[in-house]
Amino acid sequence: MVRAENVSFRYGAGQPDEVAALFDVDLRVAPGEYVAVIGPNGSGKSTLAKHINALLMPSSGRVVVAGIDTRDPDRVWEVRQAAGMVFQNPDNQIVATVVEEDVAFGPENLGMPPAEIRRRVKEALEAVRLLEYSQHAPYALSGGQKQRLAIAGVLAIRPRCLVLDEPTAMLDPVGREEVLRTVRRLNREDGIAVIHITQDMEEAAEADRVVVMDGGRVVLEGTPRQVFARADLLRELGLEVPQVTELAQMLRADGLDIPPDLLTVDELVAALCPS
Amino acid sequence: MPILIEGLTYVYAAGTPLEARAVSDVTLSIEDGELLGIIGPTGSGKTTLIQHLNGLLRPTQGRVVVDGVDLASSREALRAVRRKVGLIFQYPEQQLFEETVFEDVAFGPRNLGLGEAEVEARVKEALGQVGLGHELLKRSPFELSGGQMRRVAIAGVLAMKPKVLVLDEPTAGLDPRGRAEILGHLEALHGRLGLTVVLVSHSMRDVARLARRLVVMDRGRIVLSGTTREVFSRAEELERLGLKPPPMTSLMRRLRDRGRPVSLGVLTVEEARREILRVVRGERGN
Repeated sequence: MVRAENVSFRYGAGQPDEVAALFDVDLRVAPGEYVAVIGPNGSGKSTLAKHINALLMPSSGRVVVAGIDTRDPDRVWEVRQAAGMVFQNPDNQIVATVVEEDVAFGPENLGMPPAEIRRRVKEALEAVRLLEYSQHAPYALSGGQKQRLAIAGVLAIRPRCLVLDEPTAMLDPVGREEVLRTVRRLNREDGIAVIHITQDMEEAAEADRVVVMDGGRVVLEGTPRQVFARADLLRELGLEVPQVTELAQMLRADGLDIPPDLLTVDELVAALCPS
Repeated sequence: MPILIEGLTYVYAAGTPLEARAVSDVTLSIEDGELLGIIGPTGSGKTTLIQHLNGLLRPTQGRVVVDGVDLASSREALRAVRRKVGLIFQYPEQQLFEETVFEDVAFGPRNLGLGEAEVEARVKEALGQVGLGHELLKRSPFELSGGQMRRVAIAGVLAMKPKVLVLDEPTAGLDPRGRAEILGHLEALHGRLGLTVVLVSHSMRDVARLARRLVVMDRGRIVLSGTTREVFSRAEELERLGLKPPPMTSLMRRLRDRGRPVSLGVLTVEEARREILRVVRGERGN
């Protein structure tokens, strides 16, 4: 679905003040896979995400999305159709004054016939559970609803991959849960691949695979269990592990018979209360 | 410097079709040296409430009394309170504007009309209080990391030497290290200088770590308040509001459901560890 090969990127390449942001990054995301990307601020996560959407082009190496090289100037829109992007701030992503018009923006730009646009808008709003709000004004929506609207806007172009750059960072717990539930459902039921950048380790623990970035490189990669078992390395990078994992590791060090790679409250309860 | 909020109601755009009541009849007193957390869903009135603490908004009804002085009593009273109550908005780094870190932090003290030597001393002290070294003084704030920029913005408020620090989502958007640094500095400012800290946050983990008392808002009203432990032990009420106790508190509840006699008043990983060890070792002792 997404293949980044030896991608390096320098901001302001060739200028005296160029800044290297990515070094030799390899990333493969299979169709339908859910990948979380974690890393300290400035580690290159967002720069990498923008390559998947052809917002940035590699200084060297290449990125292939749905079989298309993102450097092909004639196919940029195909890349953006295949990989839709949702950003952190819900207020910066809304373009229209009515919810359904906002969702229609993408398909309209692709020059689709009106009947098809209407069908897609309805489908996308249904998928994020906002159909009853189709005539509402976006500014009056809650933060979680706005992010779901942003996702609907991307879904209307039927992407095969969603790239989410800290989509829950500005939301309250309800809004966060709404967005996460929506993304999980789109991934599991519709097979849309997800690349989810997050600072929240509990969110990352729910992915199929976790990629850890630091200083513009991928420094660790594996299932959430494998990655969060490396608590010492993550702490060195200024990251953390989910609180449940941290507690499990402490209790194990205290001599209790508990696996070191637990991720959820359920698992820890089961380990402490064998039935 | 105690703060007393009495019967505070605030209505946006009163008398227009857009009229909206953001805060309804809130009474709250904040004691000297408290660490108070304010939580609640988006739109529950948290931000509107704290904008009254230094007179940025004027109550539609009710009053705000800081250190015995009603903010509505005079312009002078308001000006004095603004120096004592420092308000730090969401994403405060977006308000940095000077060419160097020094100039940015110096902006407030200069406006107080202080001499240059005093301004410099305050800038250095304030930066130190948020863990930033003097080597950053001549740097552009825009070259710093997100967490550092936010700390520069907080230093700008600290340089005014406030007695009360009010922060709206101070850790939003930061990575785990940046978050831990900010919380650590707030704890230290409270501990060493006795500052009163009022923290508005969506992060239950952050308030579990920092706040000693919690106020829960919903639709403009205070619907729950008490010590942080008390409030987080009321899981059902919080969940009805769409809030969730921090993971460690939920874990204790689940263990209790499985018949383990653990205390529900647990907030942090370290407390959970001690509580589980106490119960497990007690069982082995039997």
